[in-house]
Amino acid sequence: MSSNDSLGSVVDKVELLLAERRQLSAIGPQFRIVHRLRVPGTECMPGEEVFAVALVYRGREFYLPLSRVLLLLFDYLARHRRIAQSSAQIEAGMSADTFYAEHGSNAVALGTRLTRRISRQCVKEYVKRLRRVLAATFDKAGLRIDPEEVLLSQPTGLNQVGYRLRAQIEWVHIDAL
Amino acid sequence: MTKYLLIDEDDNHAGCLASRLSRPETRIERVVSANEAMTRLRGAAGGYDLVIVNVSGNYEPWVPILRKLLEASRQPALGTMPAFLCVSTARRSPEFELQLERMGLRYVFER
Repeated sequence: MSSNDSLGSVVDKVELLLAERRQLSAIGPQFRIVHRLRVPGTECMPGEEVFAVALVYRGREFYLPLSRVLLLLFDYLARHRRIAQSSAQIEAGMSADTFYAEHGSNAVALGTRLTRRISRQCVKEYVKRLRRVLAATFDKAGLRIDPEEVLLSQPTGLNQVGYRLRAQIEWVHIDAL
Repeated sequence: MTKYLLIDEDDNHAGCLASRLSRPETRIERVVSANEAMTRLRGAAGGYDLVIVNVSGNYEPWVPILRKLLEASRQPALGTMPAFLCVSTARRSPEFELQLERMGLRYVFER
């Protein structure tokens, strides 16, 4: 028969798991977005490249295998994660933001073009793809959360659906690779 | 309300653990077999916050059993999937613990 003392470690672990679950429900999982090609001394400025996105879970990084357009969309949704945006708003927001319009232009000396335009017609499909990648990455990490609870679809009125990322985000910058 | 599913074939252990975890705002359901647990996890009434599995028995193929339990708990309609905690009164190998960790489970040895 187990004594109550030997169960103390189990109770501690149960409390830890419930706290982790509450945090996940409240603010979502943590992601790290890596920018590179910055001008030294600046951060998140036009000309940089969204290089990678990683899920950070239990002290480990799990990189999301995202195409360039999905990297840009993820970065945009991460920056605007407090308000759900419709496909049209996402298209307009990304077109107007010089960070995306000049994406990776600091590498122009290399003769490489890294910009991608996102049209409103494609946003729904990109969201589906992002959720598939999120599902696969959560599975790999052993994170038990539904991707639709992380990349949310919310009604914004007038039969429009808005998309919002429910996550903790950290941006890091690297100078060279 | 926090809802637990306790999978434990040991009556004494299950009783002690349920008693330690019992709070006014908790509900603990106990089953003795993985098959019964899978039925509960797949059921519409599921919605567990935490699944606790007593993996003390050395002769059970725990890893495939746990994989099946994880699969059964993937019910998107029920919201966030439950967390899993494996407990054991017998010390298990680091390899076993690592396997559980890779599956996203947590493990605790009852000292």
